[in-house]
Amino acid sequence: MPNAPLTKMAVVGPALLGLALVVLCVMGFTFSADWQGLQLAYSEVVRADELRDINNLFLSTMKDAETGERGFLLTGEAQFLEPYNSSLLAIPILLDRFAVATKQYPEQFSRVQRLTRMTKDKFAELQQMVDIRSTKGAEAAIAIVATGRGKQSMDAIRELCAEIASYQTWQFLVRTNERQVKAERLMLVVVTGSIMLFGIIVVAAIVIRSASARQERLRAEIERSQVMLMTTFVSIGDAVITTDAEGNITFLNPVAQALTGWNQDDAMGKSLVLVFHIVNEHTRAVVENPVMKVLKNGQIVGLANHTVLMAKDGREIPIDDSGAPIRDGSGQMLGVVLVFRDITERRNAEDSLASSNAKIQNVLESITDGFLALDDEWKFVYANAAAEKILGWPKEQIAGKTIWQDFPKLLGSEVEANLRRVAADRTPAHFDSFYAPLNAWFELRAYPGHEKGITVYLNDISERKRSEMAITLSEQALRDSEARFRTAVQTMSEIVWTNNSDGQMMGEQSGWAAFTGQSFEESQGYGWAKAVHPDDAQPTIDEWNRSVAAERPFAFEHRVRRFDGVYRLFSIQAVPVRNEDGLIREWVGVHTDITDRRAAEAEISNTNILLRRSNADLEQFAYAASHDLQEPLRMVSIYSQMLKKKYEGKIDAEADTFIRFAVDGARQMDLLLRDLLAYSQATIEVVKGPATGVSAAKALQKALVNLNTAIEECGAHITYGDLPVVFMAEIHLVQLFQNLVGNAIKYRGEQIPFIHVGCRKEGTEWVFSVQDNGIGIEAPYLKQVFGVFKRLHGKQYPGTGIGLAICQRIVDRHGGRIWVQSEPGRGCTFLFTTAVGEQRV
Amino acid sequence: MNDTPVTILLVEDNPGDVYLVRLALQQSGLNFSLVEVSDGEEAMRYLNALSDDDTAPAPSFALLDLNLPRVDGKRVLERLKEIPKCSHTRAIVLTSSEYPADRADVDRLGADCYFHKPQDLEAFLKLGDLVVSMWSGESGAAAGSPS
Repeated sequence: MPNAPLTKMAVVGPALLGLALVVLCVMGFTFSADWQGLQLAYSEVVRADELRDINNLFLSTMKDAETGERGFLLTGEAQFLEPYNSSLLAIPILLDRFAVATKQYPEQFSRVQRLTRMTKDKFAELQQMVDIRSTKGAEAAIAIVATGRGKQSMDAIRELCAEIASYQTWQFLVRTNERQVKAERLMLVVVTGSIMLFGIIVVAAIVIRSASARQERLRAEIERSQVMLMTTFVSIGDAVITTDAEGNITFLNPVAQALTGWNQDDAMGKSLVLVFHIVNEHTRAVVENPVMKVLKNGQIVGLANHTVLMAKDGREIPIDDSGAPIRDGSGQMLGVVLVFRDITERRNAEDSLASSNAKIQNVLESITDGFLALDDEWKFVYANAAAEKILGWPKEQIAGKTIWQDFPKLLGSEVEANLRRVAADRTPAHFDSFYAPLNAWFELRAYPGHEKGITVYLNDISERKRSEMAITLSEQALRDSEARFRTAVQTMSEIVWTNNSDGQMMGEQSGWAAFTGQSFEESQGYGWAKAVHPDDAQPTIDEWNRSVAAERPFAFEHRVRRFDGVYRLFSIQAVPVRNEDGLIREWVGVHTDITDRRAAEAEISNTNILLRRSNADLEQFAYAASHDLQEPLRMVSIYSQMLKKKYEGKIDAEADTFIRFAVDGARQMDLLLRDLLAYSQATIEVVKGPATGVSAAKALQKALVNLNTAIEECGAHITYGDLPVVFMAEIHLVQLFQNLVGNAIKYRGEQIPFIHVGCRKEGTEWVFSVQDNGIGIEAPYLKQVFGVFKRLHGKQYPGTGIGLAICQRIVDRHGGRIWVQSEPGRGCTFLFTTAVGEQRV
Repeated sequence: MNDTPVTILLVEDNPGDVYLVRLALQQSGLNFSLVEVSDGEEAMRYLNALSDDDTAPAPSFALLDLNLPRVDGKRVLERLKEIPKCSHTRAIVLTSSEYPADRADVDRLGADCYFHKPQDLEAFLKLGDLVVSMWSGESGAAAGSPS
């Protein structure tokens, strides 16, 4: 989860920042509010002091005014009026200061106004007293003083001043208290806020630290993956080119350099179109560059088929490629990566597959058997020309339809049942079947084919079938009673006739007449000979007369003209029928039409000749192929030995292993080819000439000489009894003994090998035996060991798995049998037979 | 060994075998000079020129591959044997053929030795010893075929 730290950081960061801001705001707000309060409280204190000063000054000034007035009243001297007069000037100024100082406090302000009014009245009273003293004399004035009015008003003023002062003092106390509270709260806010900020800073520091560690890790990871990506690009087998968003090259890996013929330095910054020049293989038209397509559409694109890369040096390389956009996290296209590869080899493989398919098809088209391939839905996938001809059904017409649609009469027939069984059980089937709509017999061989489908070979065998049936019928008929014989005569396609004891045709011959179109008269006596082919007529009559004279059965073949003028070949069998006295009563003969059978036989023998020839060709081919393969193998073999000789122990242990594998592999291949050569020669030699009598003992001795090294190595004891002269090519008999004794040595057990070669006569055969005390063969493998390339053991027993196959082939070709008897751990005995005396090969 | 190198004509189309023949001769210690010809046609041209030029010396040995492009090795052998001054040239046929008929043909054409190209490196290198032994006057026939 590489995104988690980022996400966490993205959430935690702003959260911490927000929290810090909130704390700061709260602190700021509280601070400013409380600070204002503090300021206010402080100004209150100042104001209270000022008021107290004004108050004191005011009261003393008032006292001065009253004292001056009293002095004047008593003395009448003007000098006493001086303090009074200066008070008169000072008081209004003090009252103004009062008013200014209390303006904010309406309660105080109204008191000050009241004081102003009272002071005005007081001064009016004082002025009145001064005026009275001046005009009416001291007694009048003192009399007024005595009324106490002056003292009364003065007390009221004093009282009011005291009220103002005490209110101000109270206000001062209240403000001081308030200031205390505010200061404490401020302290609390500052301390709490600081702690919180400290906490936030600590948390932020931790988060940032871990985030930067993660970032470091991520950067390392990115670097590593960049290195990996570059290494991958450089080392992968595909060619890789990357471009920027303008299609200019930013990177070519070595494969791309090799394919385009451009090196990295030259290609850098060049337009891709210049370096990656591609054309259509067939039209030679320039193909739209996939990178440009990607840049245009912003999608991954593949390349069209048959694209050829024109390399810088003019090489043309068929390639297969794809381009894909490179995008950053936000989806912005940064460039394009182009991946392509040389598909020359794949193309060659495809071409050779196609050509081998074509060869197979050629073979299928040229064989005389009809060949059909059906898919798992019973649709025709393929039909060769022969099938077309046999079925009388143009290929185009059957393609894509099912066999049941084209041949509806097959439904419910044994053909359907058989074909379905082949498809279901995946086992071959071989059967004959009559198909009414074509009025023909077919021989069908059906095999499980490709992917649940089946393949069918078919032959039109109508002719053969009909003649077989006719023969069966005629044989049956001949064994039947007279009556049934007569009935059969009318209905059979064979011609049954009777002649008298002299050998002359006498009486009605319905079969003969129907076939030849001869009238009754024409056929009588020797008249029948006129219907026989002119070349055959006289020899027939001569032979017939000889048989009649000797009274022995007559057998002949000749051509008889049918009523329509066509000659058909007949086989004729006739026997004399004797009466109770043993005298010949009449001759009964059967003409059997063997034209078709003869043709079929000729075809079969022709096919056999072809088959034999193609077998011989195949053997020649195997011989030539294994021989010609040895030449290049010799190069591999010798030069890997050269490598071993020059470099073994000089590169490293792994290289030594590789070289050893190469040397061993070449050696094994050499053995295989030699054995294959021997295998193919096993028959070639037979074909070359008839075997003359050869001494088996001599052949065995030659084989033992060839095996000398192996025998000495293991100290094998080899004995043999009386061995006859046999009719085989000596080279083959030597090979047989060499392979069988060689095997006995190779598959020896712990003990020293004891091997005995013997021979006994059984009926018309010599039975040779090679007996050993080796490891033996388990029962299930007794037959398998003779197959080509069949090996029961791994590397501990080296070999090619062809040796026994060669033996089998040699023995087969000489008309013998080969088999093995064994009990595991108790050795085994290989036995083979060959005819006593000369046999026909 | 003489100071003058032994002239050896090698007619061989397989570069791998040319290398091996050269290596075999080098290892034998023989002082030799090798004329390499890589197909039958070229070999015929060489032999014709040799036949026309009286001063040109005949090679002491001719190592001939049988299976050559253009002109068959047997034809080259036949031509070699026709040239009078090559009558002392010893012809060694190098082949991988296993057809007994080939062996009979080259014997008839007068090859001095039949060397069956082996699958084994050491056996191939014995070709050098074979040439040396024939050069030292031992019987070429005695060296026989190592196959």
